[in-house]
Formats: sequence, structure tokens, C-alpha cells
Amino acid sequence: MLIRKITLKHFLTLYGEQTIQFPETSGHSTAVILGPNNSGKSSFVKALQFLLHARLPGCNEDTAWLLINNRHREETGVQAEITASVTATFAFGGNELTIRRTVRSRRTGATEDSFGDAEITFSYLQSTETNSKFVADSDHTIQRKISVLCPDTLLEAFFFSGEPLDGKLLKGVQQVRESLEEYLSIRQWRDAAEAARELRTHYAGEKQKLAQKHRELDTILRDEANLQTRIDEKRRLKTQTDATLIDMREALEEKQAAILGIANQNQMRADVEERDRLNLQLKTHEQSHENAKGEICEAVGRSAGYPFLLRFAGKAQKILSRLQEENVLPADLSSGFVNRVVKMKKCICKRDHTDETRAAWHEYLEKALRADVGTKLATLSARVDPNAPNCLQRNVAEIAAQIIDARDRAEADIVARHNLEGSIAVLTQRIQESPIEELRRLEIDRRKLDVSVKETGKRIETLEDELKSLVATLKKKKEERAKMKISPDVERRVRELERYQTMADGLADFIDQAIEALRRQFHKNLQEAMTEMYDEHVTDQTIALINHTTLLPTIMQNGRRVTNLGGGQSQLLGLGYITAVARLRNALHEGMSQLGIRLGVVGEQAFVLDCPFSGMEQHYIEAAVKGLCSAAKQTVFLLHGSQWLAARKLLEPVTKTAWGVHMHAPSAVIEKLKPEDRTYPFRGKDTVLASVSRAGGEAIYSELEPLKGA
Amino acid sequence: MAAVHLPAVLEPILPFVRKTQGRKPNACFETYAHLVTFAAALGFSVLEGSPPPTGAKRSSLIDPVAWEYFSGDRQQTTIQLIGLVAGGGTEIVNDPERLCRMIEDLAAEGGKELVKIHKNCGDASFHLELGELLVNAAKESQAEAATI
Repeated sequence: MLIRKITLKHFLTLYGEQTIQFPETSGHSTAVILGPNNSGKSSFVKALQFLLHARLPGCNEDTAWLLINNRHREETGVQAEITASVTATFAFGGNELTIRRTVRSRRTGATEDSFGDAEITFSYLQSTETNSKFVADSDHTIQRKISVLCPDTLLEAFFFSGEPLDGKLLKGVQQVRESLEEYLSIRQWRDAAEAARELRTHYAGEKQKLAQKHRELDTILRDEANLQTRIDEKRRLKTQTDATLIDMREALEEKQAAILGIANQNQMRADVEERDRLNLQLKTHEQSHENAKGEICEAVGRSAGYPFLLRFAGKAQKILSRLQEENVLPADLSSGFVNRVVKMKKCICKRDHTDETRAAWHEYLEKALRADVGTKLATLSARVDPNAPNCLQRNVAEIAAQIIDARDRAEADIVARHNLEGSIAVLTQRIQESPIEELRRLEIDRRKLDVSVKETGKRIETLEDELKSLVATLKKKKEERAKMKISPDVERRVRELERYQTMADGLADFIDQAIEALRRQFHKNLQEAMTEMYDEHVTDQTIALINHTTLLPTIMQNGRRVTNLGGGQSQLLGLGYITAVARLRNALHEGMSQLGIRLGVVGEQAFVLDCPFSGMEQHYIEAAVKGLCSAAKQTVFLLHGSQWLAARKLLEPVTKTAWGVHMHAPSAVIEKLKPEDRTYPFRGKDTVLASVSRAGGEAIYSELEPLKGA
Repeated sequence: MAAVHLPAVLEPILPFVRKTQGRKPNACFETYAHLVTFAAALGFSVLEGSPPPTGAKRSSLIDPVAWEYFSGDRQQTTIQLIGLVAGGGTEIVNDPERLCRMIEDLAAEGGKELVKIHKNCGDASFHLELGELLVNAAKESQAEAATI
């Protein structure tokens, strides 16, 4: 990640808006920013830390207003809003990213610390074809990207080595080593491998889901196609049926017209009417015949065999007469009467009762009145009397007459029916020979057609209902399909997922292999860098050996470990470490690039080094400059006067960008500065970077200005 | 209680009783009592008033018909006349049990005739044949009466 442009606005010591543009070069880019001690050179480092990872040097979130330049704070009125910001454009992998972090507060009182809680916001530049504007990174996408491109834990180790890089650097080396150890630790790599596997599982799951959806979609599409086919078929059938119905109706109308035409012929109509009338008569005679037979049936049932007994009526009459003579009959006396007579003192003949008279009455009662037979015989007596109105003879005559009458009628009916059937046959023959037969056939056809028309109409209604139902189902299916929201380009998506899956597999394998190789490679790189940076430049015949396990350097002299290292040796160790890490990252980056994983072009990294040469001997400085310039694509040196003088000879030829931090301070501060801290030579021209503050007072502030000769 | 047993010989004629299940369309007898009375009158006529052979075989298809079912006016006339003529007095008429047995025996005799007729004419015109039989009997009786 290279710095293309950085703008600081009222940030720390830098007053106003200060911008440094770094040139785009294909090779190594070196920039120097020169300035006196306390002029604000370190503000650049702090500004980058604030911008990239929201680090708040010397304050917390509540007091972040302290990041705002003090002169600017003094100039701000009560209740006025006050802001400071850092904006930078970075280049990586052919892309550019411009980000801005702003601290905003409001002055709440007249005293110098009367500022409200600060608000810190982070945004990025969003460019369209027509305009560009900063938008909030509300979903932290950009912040995450930065964490990958420039990890927070390695920020200082890789990018910004703070001042002074002297005796403290050994401690710094330890920090660097710890950071690297963490970066190279098995656990993290295992996590990465696990993440890769999870990614693979995720992609596999996605692929499966997509395949499932695809199958469901296929089913729905097939259902749709089937439904559409059925709908088409039904529609075709309905069209055919409609046409058939029209034909049928036309045929029906033709038949009706033909019927009307034929029926208008009078003779034929008369014949038909006559036949109908005769048929009616025939039915009447048939009914009459049946009725007559029914009457005979009834007469037989009700006869009680009277006609068979009539011949015995005379004999019965004689018996009954004898019974009458014997006073057994008529039995028109009740048993009560007999009982009363017997109980009386005298008989009905006025003579006194004797045992004989009483016995006679009892015998009479026994013969005539027992079981009520007397009454019935009396009735029989009336029946057998030929002169009685309801006599047996009359009843028999009536029965016989009834049967004979019915029989005669039945026979007459048979004759009449025979005659009628003859007449009907003649008429039928005539009708059949006449067009009336055609009329009949037409009528039959017409009726059949009428039924067919009705049935066809019903069939059409059924078809319409089925069609409606099918269309509704189809609509439902289409809605289901729409809800699935499957891209039509499913195959492409599946291929994409398979590619991601393969990449995740490759990453996991790469990580597994890299875990061991990494440590070996890092040790190798580190040892090479240390040999190059240390062994070849020290003058005391010491060599640096990197421990395989701890990755810490040990300085050996004649096979013995040296514990007291000089400042220059320590700095070389630190720089060697940084160089080795840079190379290692390049190697890692290359491996990942081969896999198609572009986490950022880590080889294109800027080293911002704040006063790295303090206390170094000249040949160490030369080694450091050489090493740094070869390891990184962009190096920014922040140097004060004496260091610039020491490194000027090496740096001036390769410097592409040269800026000065012009310090404005009270005269007392300015006067204490050494001459080399006031005036900075660059390519034959001097630039004064320290002057008495125009604003007056005790405030110290700085402004950037390009070095003369740059 | 007195009851009349249906003679077994009448069984082929049972479909001509309206109460019978599976009766013929031209069933002319309202009840079994009507059939028995008709058959007894016919039998009495066939036997010329002579006493019938006793002990006619009884049908097991039909339960005995209680004497009360013969209480219709015409049936009573037929039964009383037969009982009176056959007994020559009130002896049989006054004895329902004897009267029942005699009616059964006479019905068996008449039944034989009915079965013969049915066999000759078949189901459909059975009632018509019976009508003819009644008309002929009436004519013969009237002719006899005229002769006397």
C-alpha cells in the first residue's frame, strides 16, 4: 500500500490544510520530510495511525479534540464547531483508495480546555462518472479492507518505525519479533485454514442449495410446461367442440325447417291424427278388457261358491220348514225372552208351568239359540226363500249376470281391438309410405341433435371450468417461480461456486504446507537479511545468527555470543528484521496471488521512518539506507537537521519528493535551535524551516512547504 | 277354539289369494277363508250333497284359519247351508268343530277340481275359467229349478 497523497488539516502541530503529493513511479520512491525537532514531523506518523486504525495518540475518545491543532483551537469562538482531519490516497494493486478520518468538537467555553466530547467519523471517497463525494463507511467495508492491507498489529513493525531507532530498537526488535511471531503463529494459520475450510463448506452448501433450488425450479418449470400443454390441449378441444356445436345447431335448424316443411302437408297430418285417435281407442279397449277381467275376478272372489249351492237351496228350505214346524225356527226370540218365560209362574199359553213346559223351553233354547245359530239359520231361511228380496237365487243370478256381462264386454273389447289394430296397421302403412315417415325420422334426429347440443354445451362449460382452474394453477406456479428469485444463469453461478470452492481448497492446502515452510522461509529470509544488513557492514567481525526456534538474532564473535551490542548494531538488527519481513511478505503475497487470492499488493508498501539514523555511524547509515531502499517500494524519511546532514549524501540523489516542516515558534525556542536545524540544504539550495511565530504568543505550529531545489 | 286347516291339495291355488306373498295378478280370493269357502261349495256341489271323505291331508304352509275369519255374510250363508243340508238339521250347524272338519273335507274335494282347472288353463285365465264354472253352475241350477 503506497501513499499517493496525504492531507492534514489542523492535525496536531500542523496548522491549516497541508498536503503532500507523492509521485507515481515504477521503481523505488524515496521521499524526505525535513524539519527541526518538535516541528511536527512525527505528526505524519501519528496522522497515518489515526487515519488507518483510529489510534488516538495522547488522548482518548472524550478528549480527542486534543488532536486538533492548538492554534486553530485558540482561534475558534465559543459554541463554534471545530474539526481536524487526515485524508490520504493509497495505491494498491492498480487501485486507489481515498479515506478520511475526522475529529469534530465544539468549543464550550473560553478556557483552553473547554471543548465538548469529540466525534470521530470515517469516510471514503466514492467516485461516479459525474462527481466524487465522501460517504460514511457505515458497514465497515473499507475499514476491514484496510485491516487486511495494513494489519494493525504490524503497523509499526512494517510501516511506521517510530523514533528514535536507537538503543530502544532492541526492545523494538523484541516487539517486532512478537508481532511477527503472532503473525506467523500456528494458531492463526490454523484459524486461517479452518476459515478456508469453512469457506469451502459454505460454498459447497451454497452450491447444494443452488442445485436444490435449481431442481425445484426444474420441477416448477416442468409443471408449468405440462400445465401449458394441458391448457393448450383443452383450448384446442374447446375450439373443436365450439365448432361442433355450431355445426350441430345448424343441422338442428335444418331438421326443424324440414320438419316444418313436411308437416304442412294436410293429408299426412290427418293420417297421423287419425292413427293417434285410433291408438287412443285401442288403449281404451285394452283398459276396458282388463277392467272386465278384473270384474270377473272380483265376482269369483266374492261369490262364496253360491252358484254351486243353489241347487241345494230347496233341500235347505225343506229342512228349515221342518224346523219351523218343530218350533225350532224362527229363532227370532232371544235367550233372555226364553229365560224370562221359564221363570214366570205361567207359560205364555196361560197354563201353569210344569217341569215338562220348562224342559221344552230349555230344549228350544238349546236347539235354536245355541251359538247364535238360530239367528244365522233365520238369515239362511230368508236366503233360501225364492220370494225373499235378498234370496240366494237372486244373488246367484246377479253373480252370473255380472260375470256374463263382464265376459261379454271383454270379448267385445277383443273384437274392437282387433278391428282397431287392423285400421291402425293400414294407417301406419300409409304413413310409412308417405313423407311423414321421413318427418318422424327427422323428428327423432332432431331430438337426438337437441340432446347432443345440450350435452356439448355442458361439455364446453366443463372445459371452460377446467381451463379456468388450469390457468389459475399455472399462475400460482409462475408466482412460486418468481418468488424463488433464481438467476436464470444458474450454471454460471454453479461454476463460480465451484471455482470458489476449489480456491478455498487450494488455500487450505497452501496454508497447511505454508505453516512449516513459512517458519523455515522466514528464518532463511531473516538470516539472509541479517547477513546482508549486519554481517557485511559491521567492522568488529561479529555475525548475526537467527535462532531457528525463537527467530531472535544472536550476535556471535569468534564463536562466542556477544551480549553488549552497540547502538548501530542494534539499529541494523531492527532494520534487518524489517527488511526480512518485507521480503517474506512479498513471498507470501506471490504464493497467494498464484492461488488467485489478492488480499492486497503487500509488496508495494511504504516505510515511513521517523529519524531512523540517530546515533548511527556513517557506514551503518549507508547500510540502512541501502537496505531500506531495496526492500520497499516507497520510503519516507522524516529527518531533523543532523540526521539529514548524515544521510544527505545518500538520500539526495534518490529523493523524488522533498518537503520541509516549517516550525513557527516563539523567538526563545527558535534561538535555541542549532543552525543545521534551522536551515536545510537540498541540491544546492537552502530552505529555512524555523521562524518566529507570526501569530505571537506561546503557540508552536507548523506548515509544510516544498524544499527549494526539489 | 275352532279353526279350519287348509287342505294340502289347495296349495297350488294359494297364489290366487291376495294375502299370499308372490300372488298372481289375477288373484281373486281376498283371504284364505274366501278360498276355503269357495272350494267347499264346489266340493259340496261335486259330491252332490253327500258327506265328503274325512281326514283330508292338511297343508303345513299355512297356519289354521280361526273360525272367526269365516264370519262374512256370504261365507256364513254358504257354511250354514252346507252344514244344514249335510246334517239334515241343526246338529252339525250347532257344533263348530264338526262344521270346521266338514268344511275342510269339502274344500279338499273342491280343491281337486280347482287344481284340475288350473292345470288346464294356466295362471292367466284361471279366474276366467272359474267365472265360467260359476255361470254354468248358476245356469244348471236355474234349469233344475225350472224343471222342478
